[in-house]
Amino acid sequence: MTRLPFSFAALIAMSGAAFAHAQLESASPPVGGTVDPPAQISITFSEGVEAKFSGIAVSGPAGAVPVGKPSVAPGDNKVLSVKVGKKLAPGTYTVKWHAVSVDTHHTQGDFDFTVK
Amino acid sequence: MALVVALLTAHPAFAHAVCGSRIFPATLGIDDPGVGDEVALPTVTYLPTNGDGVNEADVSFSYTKTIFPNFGLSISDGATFLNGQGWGRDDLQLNAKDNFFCIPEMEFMGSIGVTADIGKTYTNGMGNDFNTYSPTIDAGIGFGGLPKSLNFLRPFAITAEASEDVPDRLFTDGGPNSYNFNWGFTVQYSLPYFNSNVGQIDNAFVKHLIPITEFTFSRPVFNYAGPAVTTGTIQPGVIYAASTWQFALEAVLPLNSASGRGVGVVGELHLYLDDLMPDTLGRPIFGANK
Repeated sequence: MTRLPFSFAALIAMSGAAFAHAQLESASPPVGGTVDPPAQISITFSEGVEAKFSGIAVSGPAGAVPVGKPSVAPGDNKVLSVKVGKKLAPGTYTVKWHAVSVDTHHTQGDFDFTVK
Repeated sequence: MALVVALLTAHPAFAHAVCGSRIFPATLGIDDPGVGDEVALPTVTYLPTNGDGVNEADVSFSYTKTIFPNFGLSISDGATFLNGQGWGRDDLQLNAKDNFFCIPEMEFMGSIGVTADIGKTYTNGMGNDFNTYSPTIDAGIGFGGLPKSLNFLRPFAITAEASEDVPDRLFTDGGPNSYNFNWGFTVQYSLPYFNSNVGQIDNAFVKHLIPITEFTFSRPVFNYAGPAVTTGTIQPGVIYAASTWQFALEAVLPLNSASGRGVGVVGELHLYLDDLMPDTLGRPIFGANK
């Protein structure tokens, strides 16, 4: 087998410290979940994200929902959150997010949750 | 060795791609529609009986380097073991590929490229005596744009590929070197996409799985001996996609007796260098955004 110009073992060893595309691991409210009116929307990503270049928008039955500036949790830049600017009425809401991981890879997605 | 057999058994490794909310994983039977810094090491294939009626095993690697953000070069090589006939190195394969469009809202992207199979790469190798050039087009589309009323269909994606093999010599030892038309497609259901966009999956293992079935076909279209027979494989399997690597395992079901007999298997470990080493090997040589 032809030898590659780098070590396969080294690649595997490095994987624990690597950065990557930030993928949604979990969210609060949960993706597709039914909840009481949330005070904030939080998304936990697989990688650290840059709050300055990331965003969360929420829309519902009455249109766009005012939310605060996105921020990452102190000491854990994998969690991106926004505060919800008003109490949400019952209904289905859509969260649209985009994230830039700390190594500048872009990802995006959207999901619904329901307020009971 | 017949070119068609080489095409069916080489199983070169392919890259992963991102467009909008969709991450297309690296697939084994056909290429994915994107370009990225990646290495597949190894890809291992076992066929109980190949199209020539021989028990076969293959091992190969592939390395892709982006030159520009949407343009990359690949090198692939490997070895083939034929039971009763010994083993040999496969032809070296070089590929250039350009990801020329991505429509994020539609999760729709496509690439064009060309692969050169370098004949006589190795003395006593298993490859051909002539070069073959294969212009290729790849495309992929996710179903994420479907209405939310069809939410459970949104994790589906389809990718497809078509190529034409053009040998640089019409005959070898009096036998024709055929031009072949190759095509294939994949149907995949991304549980990572489901977890991100449809409904939360609490099982940490399951939410990384992508069930997939690949279909590959090849048919001689010019300069061939005997009747033109379409050969191919159907490859149901699953991909485990982590943040920086993936592992794929698929069964290999021959389309007909000309494609082989029995159920084979192909597996591959694939490393995303753009995620593993974003500041070094994993970034384009020119035009990186950092």
